[in-house]
Amino acid sequence: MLLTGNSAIARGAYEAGVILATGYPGTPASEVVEAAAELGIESQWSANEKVALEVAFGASYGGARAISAMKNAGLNVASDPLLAISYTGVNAGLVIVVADDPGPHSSQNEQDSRHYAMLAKVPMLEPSDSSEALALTVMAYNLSEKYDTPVLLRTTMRVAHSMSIVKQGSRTETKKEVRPDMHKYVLLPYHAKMRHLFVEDRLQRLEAHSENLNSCEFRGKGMGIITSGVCYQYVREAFPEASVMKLNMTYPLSCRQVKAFAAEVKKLYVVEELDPFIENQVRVMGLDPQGKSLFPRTGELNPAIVGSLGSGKKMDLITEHPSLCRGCHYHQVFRALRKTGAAVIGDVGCYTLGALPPHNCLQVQLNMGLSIGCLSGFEKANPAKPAIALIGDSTFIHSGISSIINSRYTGSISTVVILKNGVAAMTGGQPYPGSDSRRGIPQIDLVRLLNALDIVTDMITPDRVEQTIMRHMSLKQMSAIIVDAPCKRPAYLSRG
Amino acid sequence: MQTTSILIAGLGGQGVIVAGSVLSCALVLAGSDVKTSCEKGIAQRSSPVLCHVRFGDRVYSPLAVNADYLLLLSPVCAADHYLSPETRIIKCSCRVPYPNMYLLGMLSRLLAPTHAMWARAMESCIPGSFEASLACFRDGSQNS
Repeated sequence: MLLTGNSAIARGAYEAGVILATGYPGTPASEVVEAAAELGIESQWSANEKVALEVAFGASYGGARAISAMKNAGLNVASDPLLAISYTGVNAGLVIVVADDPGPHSSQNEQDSRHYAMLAKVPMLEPSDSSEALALTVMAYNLSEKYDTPVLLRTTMRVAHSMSIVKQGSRTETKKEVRPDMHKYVLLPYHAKMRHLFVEDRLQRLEAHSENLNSCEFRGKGMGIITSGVCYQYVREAFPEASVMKLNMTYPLSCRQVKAFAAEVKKLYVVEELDPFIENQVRVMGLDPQGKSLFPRTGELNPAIVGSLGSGKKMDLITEHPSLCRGCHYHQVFRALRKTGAAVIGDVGCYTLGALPPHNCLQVQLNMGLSIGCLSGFEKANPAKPAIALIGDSTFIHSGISSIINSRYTGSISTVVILKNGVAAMTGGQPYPGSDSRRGIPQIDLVRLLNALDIVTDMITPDRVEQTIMRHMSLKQMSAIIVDAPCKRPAYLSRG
Repeated sequence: MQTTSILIAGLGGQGVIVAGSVLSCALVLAGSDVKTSCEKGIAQRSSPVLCHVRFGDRVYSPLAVNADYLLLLSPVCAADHYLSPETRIIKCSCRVPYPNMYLLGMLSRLLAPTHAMWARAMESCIPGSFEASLACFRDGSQNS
């Protein structure tokens, strides 16, 4: 059976008895939640990744195994609960999937999310193909419960989206009793102090356990390569005769095991993408591997770069300009925005493409939800310059509401334009909480929500963008314009 | 058996990924170890799409570096980096209803899967009715 890494993770969650999958759409993680739904696991697209992880933790505390999946930047949003859950530990197993994007192919940055394992002091597993993705997911739940810890399962695009052969197993149903324990789950400072001692001790025990998960493959002793994830596959391709220390758990590492491997080989290498995360752990042990002195810190690796010890040609990313779909309403919106002359402080979504030709009409885009707060700061620096914030509906629900409350109640008189296409389109057309009336709950009424904050709000069609913006910018008060512009891709508005 | 690398390149909407799925499926049915990797840039907005398919006794990397074969649906710059002077390029300037299936048909003459395996692969990988795709595939397999 050929499965993508993401589908294999979902399958692993299913076999481990998971009853809840949460996440926020983000390439290359989205399919974990979608595949979980197809397997009959209750799956939810959460408002944002922080909420997603909190919901999953709730199931875990309640005695049921849960999984939460997000892309690299999504873990930044969920990092607050992640660090806290490291201290409280779990009841039923809890696994957090984070999908990094070396390249990057479709992300705002190329962060190496493995650092979160070290920061949060939690174990991290890295599968190198779909078969391992399934097996390590199942194992992660046992690890989580045995060591009382959330477990990070880290993939990259080449594992998440690549397909390989997988053997499927059967599902184990499992449920634990709810066990209130104030000293464990209420992180008052005195309890946190005690839990930190537990966390440090747990790390030591996990170090010892990692020897069971990480293996040394001895072949020719001239070259010894420590590696993990898809880089393991590149190493096997490029140096079939080299000895390899294959890390399935990349944090924490066993000093004893790594040193024993290093002692057997003449030259020690670390092959990893992005940061010297493994390399620096190995250095702290007193060893001196060749890693980032040879291999780049940016972009993906591949067998050619690995095989030439870092000097091979880099594969360029697909660089042809992406563009908005031909009939998209946003074309009309951007033409109108251009005419207003307002600076467009933008956000993350299909409309980000308005920064590119032919529109060249969006100045700023960083992280999810930045636009509204950023505009209010820009306004303080340039009170006379016409400017608007441009944000999509799913991004607004993700992290725009806190921002708009902040703007309103810190005295901003800016204009926020919310593009309502009804979906998270760029990631494949997933719904967001309130986007429609599934589950029998009425669609969220953004006009009412904003009116409750005393923000002058108009809901318009795309043809009225220019005149509405000109009118709003002349008002001396905070205002919002919701542009009703349903996504034109037919599959998106009807998906589950 | 040496691992063979195939790269399928085209634009979003041309069925690059479906072709990759069908090819992978057929090769698995024929008993190979198979790894596939699809890259599509910034989601689906008319971007180039590449699908790497590798097969053999035991496949490690999913990337078709120095590809043995390139199925070219549309000229795409990003494909160049995976090619070598020895790469055999399969393309077709004729008008057919399913160019991706036609090119697969042309390639199939050089590969192990039987016709029955290809048909089963199409049935499981193509949503809806696959007969038309199969017919186009058959035409391609008879192209000299």
